Amino acid sequence: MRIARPLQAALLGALLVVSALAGTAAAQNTGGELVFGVNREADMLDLHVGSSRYDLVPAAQIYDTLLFLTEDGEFLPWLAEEVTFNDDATEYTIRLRPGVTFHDGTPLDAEALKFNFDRIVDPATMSAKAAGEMGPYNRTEVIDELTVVVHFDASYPGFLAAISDWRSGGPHSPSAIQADPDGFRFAPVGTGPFRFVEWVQGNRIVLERNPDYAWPRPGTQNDGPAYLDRVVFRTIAEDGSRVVSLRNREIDGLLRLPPQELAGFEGNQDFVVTRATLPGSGVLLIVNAGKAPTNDLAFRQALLHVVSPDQISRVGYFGAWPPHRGSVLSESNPDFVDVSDMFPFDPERAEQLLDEGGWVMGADGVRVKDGNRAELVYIGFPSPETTRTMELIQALVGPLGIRIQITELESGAIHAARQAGDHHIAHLTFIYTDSHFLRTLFHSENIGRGWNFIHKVDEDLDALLEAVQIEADMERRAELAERIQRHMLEQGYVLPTVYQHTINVFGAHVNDVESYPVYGEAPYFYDTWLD
Amino acid sequence: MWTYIVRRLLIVFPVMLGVAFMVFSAMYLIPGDAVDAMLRDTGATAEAMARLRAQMGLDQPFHVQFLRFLMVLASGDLGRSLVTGRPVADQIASQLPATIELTLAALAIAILIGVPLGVVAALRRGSWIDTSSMIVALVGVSMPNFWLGLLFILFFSLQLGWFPASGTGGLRYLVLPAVTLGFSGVAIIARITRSSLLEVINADYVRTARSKGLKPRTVVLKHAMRNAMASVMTVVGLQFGALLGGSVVVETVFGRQGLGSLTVGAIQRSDLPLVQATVMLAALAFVLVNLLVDVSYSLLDPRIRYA
Amino acid sequence: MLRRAIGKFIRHPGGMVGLGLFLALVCIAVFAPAIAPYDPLRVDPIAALTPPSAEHWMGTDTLGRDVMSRVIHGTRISLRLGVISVSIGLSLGVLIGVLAGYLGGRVDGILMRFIDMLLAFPSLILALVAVFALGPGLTNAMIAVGISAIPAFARITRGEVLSAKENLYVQSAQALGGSEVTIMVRHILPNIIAPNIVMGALMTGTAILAGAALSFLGLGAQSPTPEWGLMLSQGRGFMSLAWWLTFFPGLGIMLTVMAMNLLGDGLRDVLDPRIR
Repeated sequence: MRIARPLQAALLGALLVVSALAGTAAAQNTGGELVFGVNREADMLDLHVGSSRYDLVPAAQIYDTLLFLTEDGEFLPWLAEEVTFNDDATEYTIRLRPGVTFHDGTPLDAEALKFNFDRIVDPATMSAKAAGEMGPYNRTEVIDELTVVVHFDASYPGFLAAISDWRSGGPHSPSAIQADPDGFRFAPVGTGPFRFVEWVQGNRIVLERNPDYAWPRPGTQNDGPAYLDRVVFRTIAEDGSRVVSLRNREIDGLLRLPPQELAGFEGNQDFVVTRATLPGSGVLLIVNAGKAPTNDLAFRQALLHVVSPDQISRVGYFGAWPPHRGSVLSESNPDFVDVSDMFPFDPERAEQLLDEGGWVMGADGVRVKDGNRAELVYIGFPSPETTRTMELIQALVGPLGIRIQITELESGAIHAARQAGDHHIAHLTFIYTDSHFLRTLFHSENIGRGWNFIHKVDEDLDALLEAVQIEADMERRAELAERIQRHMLEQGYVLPTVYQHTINVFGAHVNDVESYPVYGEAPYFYDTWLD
Repeated sequence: MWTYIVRRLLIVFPVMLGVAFMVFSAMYLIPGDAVDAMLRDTGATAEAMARLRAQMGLDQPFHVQFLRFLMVLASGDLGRSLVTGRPVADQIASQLPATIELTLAALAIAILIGVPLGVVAALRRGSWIDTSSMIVALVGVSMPNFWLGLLFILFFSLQLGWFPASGTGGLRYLVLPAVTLGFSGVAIIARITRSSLLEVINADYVRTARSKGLKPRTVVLKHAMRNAMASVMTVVGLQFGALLGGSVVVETVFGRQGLGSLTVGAIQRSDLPLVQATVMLAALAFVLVNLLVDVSYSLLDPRIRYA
Repeated sequence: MLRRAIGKFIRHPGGMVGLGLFLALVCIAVFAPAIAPYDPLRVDPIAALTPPSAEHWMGTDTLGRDVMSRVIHGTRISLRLGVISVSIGLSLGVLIGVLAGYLGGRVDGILMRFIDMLLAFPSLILALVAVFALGPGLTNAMIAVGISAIPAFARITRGEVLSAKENLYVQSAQALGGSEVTIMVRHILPNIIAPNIVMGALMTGTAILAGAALSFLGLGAQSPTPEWGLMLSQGRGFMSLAWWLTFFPGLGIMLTVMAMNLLGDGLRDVLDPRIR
């Protein structure tokens, strides 16, 4: 199989240039500064190392990717002019587009790409996410100046998705990394339409136009340097303050409109609202099946009958984030299956399941079975929406004789707690398009040190997850993915709540912001211009 | 005088040593260590973690680790953030100016409003000015600064749009946080100024001055104030600690950069090296300011002599 | 002596207002379930974000819970936090102060160096460190705030013990060969009670503020506890839509702290004018 349309791409490009030129003179203004309010500062901008999704918001402007994954699941050539792979998907040949340079002037060539892949998997890099995307990576072989062959130890169909993600597919400048490996985290050098200027910690990250940019992403209107002079990412953590800042014109746009504010902006002429459902898991509550009382299947199924995505969407998210109709995949994932009919909201059925399962209501209103009290610990991030969700769930399960204690921890502490299995219910969201990623989240090999918070070895599930990761045939994959989705819900390992939704708002003077929800909520400012 | 200052300076070292011990012990008690935090998402094997632990000396007994911690501190290396890998010293250097700006502005507001308010209240003892300024003072000490900050945002940012709700920048960004942080200081300083002035006004030498026919205002400004200032200074020193603590909250409310928000973020994310450094810095600053206050106290009040 | 003090206190307007407020708050706290119109945890999504009305005097929150009922129950939590924290600070502080003051010498030196160490931290920072070591939660926040209150009690107690020791009657009791315990209980304890009562009242206000601040920062009480600081932090995102979510809990904190300050000031003026 090959992914390349050099000829068509060139033709299409030529056509676009003409139309764009015709349009440019009349419409797009060049220049100006866009201030974008974000709810959380990036941890670092070395994507080989970092794992925070908030890193991607500035990084999407700084780095380009080898392939471009469309929202329809199609891979288009970008920095890679052509990608081909052998039948068992163990060898990928990548031919780079000529003439691409990093912001420091060095060329993006085969050696640079090899450097990137080798660095990601080097244990010394301590990569939090990118290394996982590299799968069973073995080595990169340089064929000529612009061509490499990437070898894997096993079949790895997920590589195309990996090199469409900035983390493993967005080339970082080798010379800048070699000059200052640690400093690179806070002074990134990529090939993207904007280059890094400064980072005032706790305040803002400033980027400026890359004047040499001439390798646009497929589907953009622009094909030269970006229109905006500068893009400033200002951190305004507090939801209310971010909204006030937008209304007072301190900022031009904001990331993550709090759901309760949606009504006030939609239909307002002064603002433009962009919404998208992110791919991935959606907002899930993972149930710990490795300890009492949630090690009891009937108990977990009873929870599924009362934890109603509809009510959670309405109360937790003011209806702005749609209820989850699947199990572990979002509506926007290619392999998504609607399984909402499996466990409809039915408190009576839940009660029946508990009664039949031997859960006896105690005098204090808490059910007990074999000396285990139905008291659960929830561990999640501190976010107003998930807090409301959990408070609602407390109210929903209370009459059934189940208590939940809410514990909210920040990223450092939460991970240790979830890995240790301190929870009965844990919050989890993950953004991914490709079903092979399910293995990372739910395979028992990832208990204790990875992302599996179910804490129970389920061999059937493991086999399915292994199969889906190496299945190259798309239809077979979709079948496997469906079986996984149904199995996860049948076993009550997850309580789906809502799809991850991103709502960004811009002042009406900001034009042509593209939302690209494939790998996160980062908007793309390449085509953007100001009135 | 000088021996007093030198002696006071020398006490700073054992106190800071104790502070280091306390902070280190607190961190030691926390389940999970730096290696857990660093490798948390990497899927590293248990052996790799043990190797790194040995490399960092985390497998050593408590006292060895503490000594190592002191040595590293003495060398001025504060380590790196576990979350971002940013050098802690760089982070502190970049956040310090914003906090200094905020605390100084708040202190200035507290003194510039608090002292005159106290003086007026003392001169017009029992008048409506006295009563109302003391009510303001009572409200000031009782009001949580995070609530006051939210009310300011609601009124001055949301309703009137006069000041930004959040962020760090020029004077416009400083006004609301500084007033919020300084408000309780105004209250405390006004109360102390009033009560120490009242005390001094009734003292013998002021009565004498008054009997010599000097105007009450002159008496207050020339004689009483100088003596009252000594107790005001002490309160200012204590207030500084409250300001440092308060900046943690106020910076969070107003989304300002600074040591306070750095500390809270580090605590929320269990970023041990960053917590250690920011907390120790706050303690050092507090200790030094109190030293400064004690010294100027002895300069202001000629009756006090230190052997 | 006691009668005179009470007489003086009754004529102290601030102190009486403080006492009245304090007693009212204690009543609200004790009878919270009876006074509160609704269950503070009762979720009613359909009634979410109702502005103050005849049915809900202080409106409802994002889950339709009655804010007034939550504020009323919050009185309980805050007073308990104040009392427990201060009890921790008071008992440890007095113990350290008495030991240091009475035994003197090396014990005094060591204990006071320990207190100096605690004093080196601004108190909220000390509470933050403690809560970091202990982990977030309401109980841990109480302990953390209690620890940060130790130095104030230790210092004041030590000072009183020292001056009592200088007093002739202790010396004579010692000369007469009274046991140490007797001397402590009969001659020293009475002297340290009054200043510690005053300090206790004043510190309760401070402790309530600090505890609310910790909860506001997400390190204290956890949802769905109707704790005032937590309610404030949850209401922040709704400032433009529902001012009542932040206004009433804040008012609760302010009135409670104000009551403690007035009461403390009054007690000080009556019992021990030396402390400031």
